[in-house]
This record gives sequence, structure tokens and C-alpha cells, in this order.
Amino acid sequence: MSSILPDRKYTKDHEWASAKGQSVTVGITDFAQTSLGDVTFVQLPETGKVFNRGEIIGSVESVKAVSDIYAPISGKITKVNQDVLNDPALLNQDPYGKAWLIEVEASNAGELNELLSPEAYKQHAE
Amino acid sequence: MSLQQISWPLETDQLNSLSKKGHKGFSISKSDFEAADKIPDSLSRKDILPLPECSELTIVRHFTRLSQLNYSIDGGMYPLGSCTMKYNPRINEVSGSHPLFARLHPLSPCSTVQGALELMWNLEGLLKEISGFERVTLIPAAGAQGEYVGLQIIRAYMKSKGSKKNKILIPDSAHGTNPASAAVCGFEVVSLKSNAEGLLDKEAILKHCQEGDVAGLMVTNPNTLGLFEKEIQMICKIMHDHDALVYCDGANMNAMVGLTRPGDAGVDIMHFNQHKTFTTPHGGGGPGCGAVGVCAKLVSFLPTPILEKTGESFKLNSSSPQSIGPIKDFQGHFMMMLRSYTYIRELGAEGVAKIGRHAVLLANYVRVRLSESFDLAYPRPCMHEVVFSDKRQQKNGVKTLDIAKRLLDFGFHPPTVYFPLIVPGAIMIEPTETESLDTVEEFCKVMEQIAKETTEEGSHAKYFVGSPKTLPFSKIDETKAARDLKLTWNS
Amino acid sequence: MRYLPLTKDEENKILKACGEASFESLTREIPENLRVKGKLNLPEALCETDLLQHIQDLGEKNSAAKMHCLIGQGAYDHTWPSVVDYLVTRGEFLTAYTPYQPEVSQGTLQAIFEFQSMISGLMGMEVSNASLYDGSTALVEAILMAARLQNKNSGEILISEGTFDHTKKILRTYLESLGFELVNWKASAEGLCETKTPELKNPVAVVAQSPNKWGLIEDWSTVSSVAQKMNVKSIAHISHAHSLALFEAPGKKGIDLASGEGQAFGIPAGFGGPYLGLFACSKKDVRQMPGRIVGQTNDARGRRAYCVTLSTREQHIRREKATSNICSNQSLMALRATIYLSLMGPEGLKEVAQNSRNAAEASKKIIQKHIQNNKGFKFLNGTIFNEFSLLYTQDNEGKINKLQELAQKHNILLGTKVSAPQESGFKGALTLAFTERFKKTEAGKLEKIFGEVLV
Repeated sequence: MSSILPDRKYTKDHEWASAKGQSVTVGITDFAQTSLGDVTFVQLPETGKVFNRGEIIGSVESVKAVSDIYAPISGKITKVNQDVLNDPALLNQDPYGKAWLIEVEASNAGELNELLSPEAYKQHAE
Repeated sequence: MSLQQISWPLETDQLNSLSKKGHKGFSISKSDFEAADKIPDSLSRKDILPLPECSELTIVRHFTRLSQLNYSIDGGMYPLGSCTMKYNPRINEVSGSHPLFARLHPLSPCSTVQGALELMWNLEGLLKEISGFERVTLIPAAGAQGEYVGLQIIRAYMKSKGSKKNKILIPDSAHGTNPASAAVCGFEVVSLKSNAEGLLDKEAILKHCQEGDVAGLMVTNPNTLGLFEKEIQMICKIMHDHDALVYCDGANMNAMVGLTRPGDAGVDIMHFNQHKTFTTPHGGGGPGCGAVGVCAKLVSFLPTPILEKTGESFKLNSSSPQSIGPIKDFQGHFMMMLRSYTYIRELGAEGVAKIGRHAVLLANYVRVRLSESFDLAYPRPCMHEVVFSDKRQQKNGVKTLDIAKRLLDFGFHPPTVYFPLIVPGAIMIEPTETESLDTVEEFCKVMEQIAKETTEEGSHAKYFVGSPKTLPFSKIDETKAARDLKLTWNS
Repeated sequence: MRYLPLTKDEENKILKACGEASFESLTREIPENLRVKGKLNLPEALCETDLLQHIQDLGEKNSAAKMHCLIGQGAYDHTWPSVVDYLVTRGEFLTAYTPYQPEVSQGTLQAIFEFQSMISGLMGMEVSNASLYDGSTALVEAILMAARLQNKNSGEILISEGTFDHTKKILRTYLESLGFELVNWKASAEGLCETKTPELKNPVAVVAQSPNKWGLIEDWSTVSSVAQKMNVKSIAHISHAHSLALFEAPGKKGIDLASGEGQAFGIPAGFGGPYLGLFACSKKDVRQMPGRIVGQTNDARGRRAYCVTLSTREQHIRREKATSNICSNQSLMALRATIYLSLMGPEGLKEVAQNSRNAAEASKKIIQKHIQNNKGFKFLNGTIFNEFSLLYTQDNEGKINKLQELAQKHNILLGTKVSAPQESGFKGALTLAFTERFKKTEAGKLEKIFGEVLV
């Protein structure tokens, strides 16, 4: 069974978001990395890019599948995880920790409340 | 002295490592002419060309060894669904390299290549009769380019009617090429869900058409589940009633040859895959030949050059005002046309009538033989291919991929797996009409044996882990290939 | 029927196993009115002997098959060692499927890997794909890739006037329906690319072909510097693969993407195909490259092995978001080229190229004698490889036709007519191509033909 952490919010498309003030860290869930299999490539936007919730902001690839990453909230990218770009295997090892993908300055913090709770995501992923 | 077992070298050397300075594999006569002036320094190449220096035997051995690492139709059966891996008769290669055709320049004056043009004209005639279309262009290089041509014709037809319709309906069971081709032509793709029978949903098509922006439908018939779209006439009528066109992906034409003609059902455009239906060699992935047939109202949109016959003489015409234009260099893969022409002429009317018939019979044999061991996705008679799944084997922890790799241990190439996408764990089998019943029976026995293995306690570890085990190569690490890209000798 | 082994008895056996009374009931989903009634109207079967005779008879109607061909424009009549034919027709290559099951396709895969290695090396670029349909469609793909790299889905493509006319028409078919516009990059009076370019609003790529349609060698530095000035991608299109043996590789002169036609590498002219589309780029851009790519890896036991890689770009996974709709490569043609190149080696390839060039330059001298002091004809003064153009004025078109007619009587196909450079003031250009097959005998005939018509 894939793990779901209690300290963050989730989307139906298997992204997670974790907020510290205005700054929100985004990644993909353990369920997502397990279904993809060995991740071979990660594509992320550049720092400074502004986007709306639900827009495609990047993609994660395994040998035979590719999955788009959707923005869980609207905002501006403040940081991109270079480690995961250089070593995509990190996503298989530590999707909630070292393999976070981007940091976002949220333009509408209220959107966070509309994301799934860990319980709701658990139900969805099953 | 003791006899030693011959073993394959652990590595097949890469060509560059076989290179020895001063070795030669060529024989060219001296130039009859004096050396041309020196090339200006700013334009000339200065490095030693990055090619190996090898004797002819070194090269012969290298490529012979490489060839021996391939599975091939000549070596065994390919039950690959949707790929129609039938026998490639050798006589095709004799005509397909015939010196009276092989050296013809594509831009030779038409009067000097009448035999080649007559052959194209004849082949078009055969394909027209087999498919029921008004005209067939032989130019497209492969099935995918055939799709491109078909979609460009839809676009040109809509434009000629002053219509701006921009949507193409594509069933969810379709090959990925269909949506990719539609996108390359700038169409918007609308995915159609298959109905409970695995077929096109007539009502859904009607609903989309009523919205007024549907330009066409891409249908594969029989579809990728091996099922005949029995309502194809009605569906064509709905599309036509809404001034939209029907494109048939001819990937599965093999099932219809001699039995039914897509043109008669109301299909407007269809491509043929000559390597599937008419035995041009698969060649490890190409080249293909993707002729496209169209109904009468679309003839003026066909790509140039257009083959014309006046009296007894033939010519290629490059000016055709409504044409979508040229789509590739010259008049297509002529040497492939030569091969499929040879095949159809050998079979003649009587043989062609058996293509679809035998393909369908053998596929149904596989269906009834294996439906006791594997879960049949749609329990009805199939056409030329049949789709099972790993539903029953999953319970014991064995998946489709395991079954595929295990088949290799028994000397069979795996079937098509995980396609169509709408059947989870799909195992898609297409025997083709050139296989004997005995070979098909042998394949079924092996599949049954594997199914039996999966019912044993701990079968996954016992039989499936590490397969294939009996080949020079074990499982290839595709993840490593994608993570650490090494695409040339020097990278 | 030797290819269709099922007997009537076996047909019945299968129907019985299926619990069906007849083939018609087994295939009941085909509506009755759509069934082919009786046999199709096709000719009767031919036995092997009659069939081969029939092909021979058709072949005899090709008078061109017995002529010496001096037509170029993208297809060339080179020779190749017979062992190329021997090796590619081995059943294990000829009848193998696309190498999606790497464990049983290592032969095809390694051959493609070696093809990629040699082609990228010859192009002077880091990577190559496993080949595309032909030269012109490879160029289409290069332009689309240039657009993707810059996230542009419309704009202007500046294309050299010296690009083959047939290639430009193909580009138009593909690119105009997608919203791109081809803008002519006018050649100098001598038929070469110049640094002077038209004003563009939204340029996407700068494209040139070498050898160009008049047979002239373009300087890639001009192309790459013009592209750099516009801040767009530069694309080099190699129309004759052997030219890479003598002339600087595009990758060494700042070119971003290279496409080309590889037919000359051991592939028969074959009345149009199949040929071999070449494609090369730098490694950083490889994820936007179209077509199949093979990479090196290991098997589970650590043995060096190969597999198709970066498949996530392709249509079977990406569907409508794929980099291209192409599902095949010209695998057998790529194999021909790989074997051809490994037999020729660095010296052999240079020798063939040099022989072809010598033949062209010698022929130019022969013709030169007959057009001296005649203002109605002219040669362009740039560097050529194996093809050159004889420019002619309107008044002299009749003479060109006469030359071609007379040549046919001497069993020579005397080139093709194309348009002359716009700035040259001439009406047209007769292009003539030469290979190592052209010898003294043919040169003698050329002398005679020109002597007779241009007195």
C-alpha cells in the first residue's frame, strides 16, 4: 500500500501540496510514483513562471508512461528542485521529502482549502 | 582433446572497436579523370571520417552475428495482434530488386519508364477491386503517412465546402497513431468511449455530429479488439448526413480481404499497410508503403503526382488544382509496390479470396482453444485477432508481461500486450493466414502450459522471475537506457 | 496455394471446434449486403515462372533501365558492394518485427545504434535518430522540431532559394496547414545564400540545402550566422549524403539541426524509394527529436545490450501530444547504409565522393568548350560536388531540349531542367549529376552530343 502523509493536502491527479505561510511546496504522491514505475525523466517549469490552478506545469516520465503534473494552486514559481531534475530516481525513493518538485508563492491561499484532505485522498486513490 | 561447447561471445563487439587502420572493405576502380581542383579551405572537411576500417569478412561476420540475435518470421511465428506478421515470400525480393526497375531514376522522363508506371497502374487496379474505392494513391511512405494524407484530404474537402469543422472523432480503442496524425494536421481530437460490446457507440457519434463541428471519424475495422463494426454502414450514413467523412485505419484490412470491402460500406478514405496485408517485408521496423484509397467525391484531393493513362501510355501529372500537394519525395516507395504487386498476382482471384477467410478461421481457433485457460475480453466470434487478458492469472501474481517474457523461453515471440488500452492486461493474438494449423496448435499448447504453470503454488518465483532464461540476452534494463542516455559510440 | 496452408479439412475442423455450421455463420457480424459475393474481379493466379516473366516483361518496357543516368536532384546512381544486398536480405533482418521486444531484437537494435553513431559523426552532431522516410520529410520534421524548441506554433521559415523545388512543395503541404509561412531567401546571382535577408516579423528557422539544387556547396557559417542574428534555429539539409565525405559537417559550423537524404549510401534509386531520411541534433535537444531512437544499456546479467529509448515522445504513448505521428523508421534502408558505410570506411567513402566530383568537373570542362563565347549559356562559379548546372536563356531552351533528345539516342538521360537563380537573369538551368559510374566512354558521348547541338 502506498503511503499518504497526514501533514499536507492532495489533488485527484495525485499531486500533494504543503503550505508554510504564502509558500507552498508541491510534489507527486507515493501512489503516483508507484503507478508510474521507475521514473526516468522529470520536466519542470522555470523559476518565475506564473500559472493558474489546474494548468499543466510539467511532466514525469517512466520508460513506457508519461504523466502530466497539474498545478494544485495558482501562483508563481519561486524554487525548482534541481536534485530531482538531475536524479529522477529520487522520486521513487522519497516522493514526499527529497523529491519535492517546486515551491510556489500562492496567489490565492484560499485554494488550499479546496484540496483533498489525506482521508479524502486515501478514498480517491483506492 | 575434448570437445568444447560453442558459446556466444559475451559481448558482440561494436563496429568501431573492430576497426584496424589500413583495412578495406571496398573495391572501386580508379577515376578515369584528372583530380578536380582543390576544395576551398573554408568549405572542406578536415577530420578523418568517423567510420570503421574493416575487411569484408569482418563486416560479413559482424552483421551475420547480429542477425542471429533477432527473432524473425523466417525463424518462428509472431502472434503479434494488430501487426499481421505473415510470411514474406522470397519471390517478392527477386522482383523487388529487379535490375530493370532498381536503377530507375524517379525523375526519368515518363516515356522511358512505361513498365514501372504500368505496374503502378495495375497495382492500383488490384487494390481498388479489393477495397471498393474509386482511386488509390500509392505514394504514402507508411501507414502513418497514409493517415496524414487521409486527414489532409478531409481538411481540403471541408475547405472546398467552405466549412471550418475542426474535430475528429477517435474511439478509445484506436492505435495511438490516429490521434497523433490528427494532431499533426491541426485537428482537435475527441475521444469516443467504446460501448459494452467493445464497438463504436452510434448514439454518441450522432450526438457529437449534431454539435456541428465534427469533420470526420477515424475508425479501425475490424477494431483493435478484433471485432467487426457491424453498424459501419449506419455510422457512415450518420457522418455523411452531417457532412462529415469517415476514415478507416486499414491496419486490420487483412481480416476483410476477399470477404467485404470498406468502400462498399460507405467508408470515404482508407490506408493500406502493404507490409501487413500484402507481404512487403517488415524489415525490423520499415520501410513501409501506405497506399490510400478514396471514394469518388475525394479523388480530386489526392496528393501529387497523379498517375494517368491515355490510350496505352502512362504519365505522372504534378499539377492538380485541388490536390493536397506532394507529401514525400517523388512517387512513393516504388520498390515496395513491386513486392506487393508480385504477391497479389501470385495469389490471383482465388488466393486473395482466402486471405481474410483463413486469417479469421485461425484466429477463432485460438479463441476457442485458449478461452478455457485465459479470460476472453469479449466472448463472441472474432475476426483476424483475439484479445484475452491476465485477469485469471493475476490472482496468482502473474501478469501479462510475465506471460509474454515466459513465451520467449518456449521459442515463441510474445503477442501484443497491454493494447488495446481499454482491456487491462490485454494479450492480443493474431496468427495470420500463412501459419499452418499445426504451428498455431503448438502455440496454443505452450500458452496452455504457461496458464497451467500460473496455477501452481509459488509459480511466479518458480517459472516467471528472470524470464527469458534461455536466450543469449536476459531482461534488458530499459530504465537505465532512459536515465543514462547513450545513443552513439562516442557519447 | 503455397503461402496459404489451411486445407478444406482443416477449415471444417476449425468450424467444428468453434461450434459453427459454416464460415458465414462464424462471420455473421458482417452484414449480408456487405459480403463479397463470389470471387473478386482479379486476374487469375500466376505460377512462379510466369510471374517472374511478367515482371521481366514490364521491366523491358523501361528504356531508362539501359541508359546512363545523369539526373540528380536528390537521387543518385552510385554503386555498392554486392555484400550489402546479401546481408540485408538475411531473413533475420528482412522479416524481423520492430524491435519493441529487445531481448529478441538485439541484431536490429545494435545495427541502428551503429547507424546513429556513424550518421551523427558524419553530420558532426551529437545524436541521430534511427531514420525517417526521406530527405524532404526529414526536413519537415526538423522545422517542426525547431518550432517546438522555441515554443512557437506559427511564424516564418526562411528557406534558401537553392532548396529543391520538390522539397519546397512538400514543406508547403505540411507547414502551411499548421500556420507556418515559407519565405524565400533569395540566392545571389551565382546561386548561393547571402547574408542579406528579407525583413521577418516572427521568424522560426533559417533553412538551407547543400549541395543546393544547382549543385553548389553552401557555406554553413553563412546560414548559422544569419540564424543567430535573428535569434532562431538554423537547419542544414544535406541533399547528397556523400558530400559529407568532402565538405565540412554542418555541426562543426554552428548549425542547430541537420536533416538529409541518405539514398546515396548503398540504396538503389528504385524509381523513388524507399530512401533514407537522416536527422541529427545536439544531445540537449534530444527529447524534442522525432522518430525512433536506440540507446545502449545492459541486460539483467550485465551484458551490453540495446533498446528503443525515449519512447515517451512517440505516438503509441503520447497519442495526440507526440512529437510526430511517425511509427516506423526506414530500418532496412538504415541497415543498408550502415553496412555500406562500414565497408567503405573513411577512405572508401572519400574515394567515391572524389571520383564523382572528378567526373563532374571533367564533364564541366567538356561542355565549357562548347559554350565559350556564347552569352546564351553560363556556369555558376561556386564550388560543386558531383552535380552542376548549365544556365540557359529563353532563346536557348530549344537547344537544351535538343541536347536531351539526342542524349537519349545515345542512351544517356541528360539531367533535369530547373529554374535558374532569380538574380542570374537566365531562364532555366540544366542540372547534371555524376557518380563513380561515369567513365571515359560516357564522357566521349557527352563530347559528341554537345558538339553536335552547340556548333
